[in-house]
Amino acid sequence: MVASPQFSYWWNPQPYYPVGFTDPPATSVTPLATGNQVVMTPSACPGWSFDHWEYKNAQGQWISTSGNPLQGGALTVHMNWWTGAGIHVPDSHMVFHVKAVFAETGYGVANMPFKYRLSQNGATISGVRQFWNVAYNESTPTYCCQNHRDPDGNKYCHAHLPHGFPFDCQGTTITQQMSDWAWDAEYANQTRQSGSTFRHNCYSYSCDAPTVMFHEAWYNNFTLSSSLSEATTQIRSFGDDDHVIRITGIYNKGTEQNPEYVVSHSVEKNGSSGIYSGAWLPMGLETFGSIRKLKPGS
Amino acid sequence: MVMNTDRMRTLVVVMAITGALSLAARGIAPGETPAREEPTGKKYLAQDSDFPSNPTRAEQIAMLRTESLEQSLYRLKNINMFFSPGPVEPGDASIEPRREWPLPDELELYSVDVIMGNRRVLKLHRDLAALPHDVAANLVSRRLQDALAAYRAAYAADEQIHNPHGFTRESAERARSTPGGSLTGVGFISRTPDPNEVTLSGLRYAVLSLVWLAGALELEGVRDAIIEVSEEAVSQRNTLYEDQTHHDLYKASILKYLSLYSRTILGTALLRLSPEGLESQEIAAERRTFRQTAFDARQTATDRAGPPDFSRGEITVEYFVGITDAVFDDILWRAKSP
Repeated sequence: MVASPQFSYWWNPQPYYPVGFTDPPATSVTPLATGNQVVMTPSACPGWSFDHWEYKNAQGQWISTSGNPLQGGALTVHMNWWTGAGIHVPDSHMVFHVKAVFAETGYGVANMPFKYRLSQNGATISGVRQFWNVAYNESTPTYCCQNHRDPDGNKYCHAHLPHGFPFDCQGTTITQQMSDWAWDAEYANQTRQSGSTFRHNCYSYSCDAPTVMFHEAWYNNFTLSSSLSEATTQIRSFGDDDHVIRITGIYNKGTEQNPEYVVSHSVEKNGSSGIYSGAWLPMGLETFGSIRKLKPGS
Repeated sequence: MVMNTDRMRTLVVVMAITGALSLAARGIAPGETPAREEPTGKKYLAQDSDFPSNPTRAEQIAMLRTESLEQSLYRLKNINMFFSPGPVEPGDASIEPRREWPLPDELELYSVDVIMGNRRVLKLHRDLAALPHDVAANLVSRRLQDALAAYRAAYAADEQIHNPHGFTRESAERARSTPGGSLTGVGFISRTPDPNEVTLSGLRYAVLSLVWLAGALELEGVRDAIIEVSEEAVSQRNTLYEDQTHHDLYKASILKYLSLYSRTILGTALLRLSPEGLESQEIAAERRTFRQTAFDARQTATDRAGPPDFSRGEITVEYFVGITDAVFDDILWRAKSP
């Protein structure tokens, strides 16, 4: 994932130093070469690590930052057409191409806490599931399976889930699971940033993701913010045909070998036909489940 | 894991009767007649069954403020209060599989966090600290023996422990050789819809909480009861270590979730209640301090909801980590030595 709090829908490509009221009035302005600064931070999926950044210059060549010192892996660019120190958008270019490049680091064994119930309103049971041939990031928590790929060879990286949320490497929820709606009571007093339940592919997303991503910022788990959301306050039933994430559009389909980003826009409908939540998912094909923001911790 | 709830409830009634608090615990001298007999029946001691299974901080505080010492001790086995919210259990990932034996320290410390995150335990710490030392020790010792008896019965009756289906070494090998394969051990009940439902995990945490409190408050009179708990724990550990039929994850899950074997909690209590003290016995262990708020703080140090609120007081408990199996055996041996 590539994230920055400074992403925006648009930037003024020719920013100037502000001019104050002077007497006589100023007759010239000075270009602000450091204007529209954007600091981007890469965040690797489990099993991957950030390697370097690449961006396109005016001639359309990819320029690599390999070997250049980057503060914590972050890349700083200036979204303007001026020249000077640092990285700028080529003069007159409307789109600036930047991508973070990640390298695969290997897979192993992960012990993941999870919870389940034997009946809808029964006792909650906590346990640990041990996965093989996976990589796991406890802090997120997300995990990737070495052999879990879609028919095009894309690697699946499982969702950013409440800690211990049950999944297995086949992309199915562990048997006897309820939807995440049924877990509201369990998490009622905790802050949960996101949650999702999927029958098939699932990818991470975050509620506070940037609204606009740089073109070709890849690979598969960068995210866009929810276009529609709600603060959930009640348990809902879930699982019928009207509670399905529907893919409403797919853009720039690509693969790991052809690292252009893939984004689909998904929405979920409730039984009374109103759309009540939605989110942008990278390659959210065949998804089934729910996307939502949850209420903040009490 | 499904508990035989009826059987367990029967045990609880027995506990309530045999473990009725002494007059001394209520500050009444032997031979003296209490001016007013307080109710001690199960209805009085049990928690309101409509109390939320996942109570908010405010709901917990309101309940505990009206709870008597007797009620707090009786309700200590309520598993819900240990996990409201309870700590996040650490996961882990590595290229090579982790050795399950002995359990790593972080899993032991998880149990410490669970206990110190229970506001009822914090309230008990305050209430017991206010009693005369010997009175508190006598009270805790008796309650610990009662809780241990109930725990033993529940442990012996657990089918997943004594009559497991699956969990074999062969099944583990199949999981490892299957792409995306996984396996599990046994879980523990961490929340029940009825707060009074008795569970093996709740009894386990009740026993360990009483051991922890005895150590924290240096109640020397509980030492013999803790030795008994420790011997039970070592017996459970040895049985699991010697099991050649089932895979390590299964055995580790019983050891860390359902057995009493917590080197940190038991070892700390024995060391703190040792007449000689740690240094003179040359025990290899690292000393640490757990700083926790009062039970009615807006936020405790384990609430995961912001900075802890120490405005209503604090509880500081010194404990020891880095206790290996061999060191624990040595501590127990020394504790039993005359």
